[in-house]
Amino acid sequence: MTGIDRGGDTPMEPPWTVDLLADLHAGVLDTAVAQRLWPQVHQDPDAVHVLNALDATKAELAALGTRPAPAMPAGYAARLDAVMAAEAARTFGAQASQAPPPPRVAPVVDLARARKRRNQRTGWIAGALVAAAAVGTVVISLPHGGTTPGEAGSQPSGGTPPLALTSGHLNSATLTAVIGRSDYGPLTDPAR
Amino acid sequence: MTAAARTDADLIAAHAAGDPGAFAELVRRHRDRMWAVALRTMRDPEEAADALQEAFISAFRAAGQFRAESQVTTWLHRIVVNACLDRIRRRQSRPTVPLPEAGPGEPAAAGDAMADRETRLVVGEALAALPDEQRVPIVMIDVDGYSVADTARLLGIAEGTVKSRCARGRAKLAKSLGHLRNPSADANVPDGAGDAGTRQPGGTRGTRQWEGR
Repeated sequence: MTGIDRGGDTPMEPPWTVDLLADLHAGVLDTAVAQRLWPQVHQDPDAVHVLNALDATKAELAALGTRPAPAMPAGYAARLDAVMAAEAARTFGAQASQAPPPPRVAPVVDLARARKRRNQRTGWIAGALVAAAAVGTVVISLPHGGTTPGEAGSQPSGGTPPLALTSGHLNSATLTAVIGRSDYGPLTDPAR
Repeated sequence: MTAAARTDADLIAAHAAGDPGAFAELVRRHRDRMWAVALRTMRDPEEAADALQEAFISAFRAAGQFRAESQVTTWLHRIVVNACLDRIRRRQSRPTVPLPEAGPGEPAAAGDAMADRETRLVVGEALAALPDEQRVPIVMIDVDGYSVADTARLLGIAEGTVKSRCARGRAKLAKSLGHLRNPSADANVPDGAGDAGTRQPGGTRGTRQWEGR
């Protein structure tokens, strides 16, 4: 008992109103009433005409839903885009409405180029360290005029004696051999 | 991966994960289809546009609740219909505002066949002439393919009421679309459906469905 029970008032003989036939067509009537009515309406050409008209109407409505949708008018579409951009900006920040999303991982760069850049950077740092070490050795050693192993701040224990630089070693040829440079500016004169 | 290569579900997931451009792509993909849904449910283009905005904002904010087992289009469709129903309920609680004389104003896409455009306009106008309580369930069931049970639940009314309102509305449409030509049958159809269409049915007889789908 899911539909309308008209309490026995449903006419089983024609003519039937369009409303009653539309109810029958839509499944509104009580199941038992509908089962009795269907064979009767099939016998009546006018009723069949109405039912066919309702079928055609439903088919036309269904076709409306399957046709390609017309484009949203440009004005409404622009308004929608603006509203959505504002919502995105509120949620994700101002850049959402202005720029494409930033990459979510570190940018990918060419491996060979990265290695070359790293090697260049390493070379500059290594060169600078060598130069600084050489200049530092000369600056520390020269004012004392010579050193002995016992004067060193820390002594390695045992084995080969540590490399000791004495004033006798400080000629230009030795220095050049050690640091590979021959221009020492004011230190070029061995008498100083 | 380009936006075009991403599925709708990918875009929803990307949006939920914080991709600020993903949802805009989703809107671009489905805007026209959802516009058609909103327009035939609301009738008035201005109200349809407002309903669509509300729907897309709701979807934007609720994307995290989307479950991949359902289709994004189905999910969006339901949100659009709900937004339309909310607006209709609000409208019904206000004094009646007359609709523009231009009717539903379904815009035509460039390249549409004239016959197709004419059919859409005629059916659209006939639908627009129905009162909300008949047009909305007919649109949901006969056009958009919702079941009677889903329609009843979304509208908050009994299934029998849905069927009955569809029956009344279809009878009016059958007349206004020119499918009911027998004067004696016409005499039983209530007036008020308008005379938007007088053309003859164009061989669109479908398989009879005795239940209201």
